[in-house]
Amino acid sequence: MTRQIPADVDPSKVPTPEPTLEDHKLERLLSGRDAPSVSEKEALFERIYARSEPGRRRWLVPSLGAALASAAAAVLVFSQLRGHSDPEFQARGGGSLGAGPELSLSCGAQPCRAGGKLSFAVRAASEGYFSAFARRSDGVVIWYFPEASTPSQPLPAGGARAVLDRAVVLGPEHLPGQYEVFGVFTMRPLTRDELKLAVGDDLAGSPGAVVVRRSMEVLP
Amino acid sequence: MYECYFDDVYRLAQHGFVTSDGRRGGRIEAEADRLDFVQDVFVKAFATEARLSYDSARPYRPFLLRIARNLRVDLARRAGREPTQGKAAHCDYLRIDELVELGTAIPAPEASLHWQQLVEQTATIVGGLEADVRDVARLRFSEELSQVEVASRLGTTRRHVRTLEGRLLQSVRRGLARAGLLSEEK
Repeated sequence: MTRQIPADVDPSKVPTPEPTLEDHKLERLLSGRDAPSVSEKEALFERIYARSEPGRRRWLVPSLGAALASAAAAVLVFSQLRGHSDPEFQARGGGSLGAGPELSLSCGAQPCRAGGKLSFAVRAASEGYFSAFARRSDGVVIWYFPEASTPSQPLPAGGARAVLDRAVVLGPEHLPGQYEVFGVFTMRPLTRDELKLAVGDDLAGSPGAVVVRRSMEVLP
Repeated sequence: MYECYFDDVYRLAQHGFVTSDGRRGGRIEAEADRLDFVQDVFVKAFATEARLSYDSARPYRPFLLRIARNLRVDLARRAGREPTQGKAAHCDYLRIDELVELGTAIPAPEASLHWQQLVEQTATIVGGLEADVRDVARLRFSEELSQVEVASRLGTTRRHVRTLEGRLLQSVRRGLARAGLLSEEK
């Protein structure tokens, strides 16, 4: 194709045409940035996924070890220990009876919203320790217990069902939507790093860490 | 995580990094090498060792860019080229430069005049296309939605979105060729 250059234009100032442009370069032009386009990023992610250890691939979406929302946004609040069952807890997934530990969640009489308090009622057949975290629908993990510098907290003694003396204030990272809350029951106190290993990549737990899952909806 | 921080890691490869004594280094010239580097950074960041060392109470971006910086330094040293000069490179091997620690955005390199002309002409071409093709251009390449998300927004199928993408690229290529910015068509 012959280019027509106007007579009054200095040919030396006319840029040399590209020989041709591959699709990914056209896509970059469409994005307006000389940086990888969305399809280049998607293709690269496939390569990253393929290179990740098979057991770790589930982490690439629900990444427990790299939570965007940190426990710094989840403030722990102390309230009175209540030793009796609470109807609010029963209404919110009271859990199955039997030999396994139980977990119930409650935001009190109100629906769960950012700024509200999330309480935990637990029961376990034996003494042990309790940890908890939530996972948003987009895979972001939010730590509840333990805090960064402390291990998981002890369960009420005697196998009675009780509300934990620590509640969690739902911080701004609790966007409206569905959450999966994971309660982890262990025989000894664990730090976050130890919990990550104990829970495993599929968050199903291990012989030393029993995981109980509950659903939670955060309203606007 | 990948979507949020891809651009930061890529730009680190485009720019290199600044040491505490103001020297720059670590810039990766070849595009293919940059993408390989970005891939290596995320593979390393998603590995068990890195995940266990991350404290989720702290921001993730400096943690990730620290991995990128250290990986770049490692690669250069293995290749026998020190990417940074001066005492700071050794003493501050694990210290993040101010760009990262202060959370300053890593700017994109300035585009060449020729690139800007191509972008402007491309926008002109897209402006003259059918509405559904323009929608794909905006949703897919400006807003960077996946094909599935674009299909959902447009109320169509992913296959149709792929068809529209192909039509879009073909139209842009032809338009740039007619404008004399491509010497021959693909």
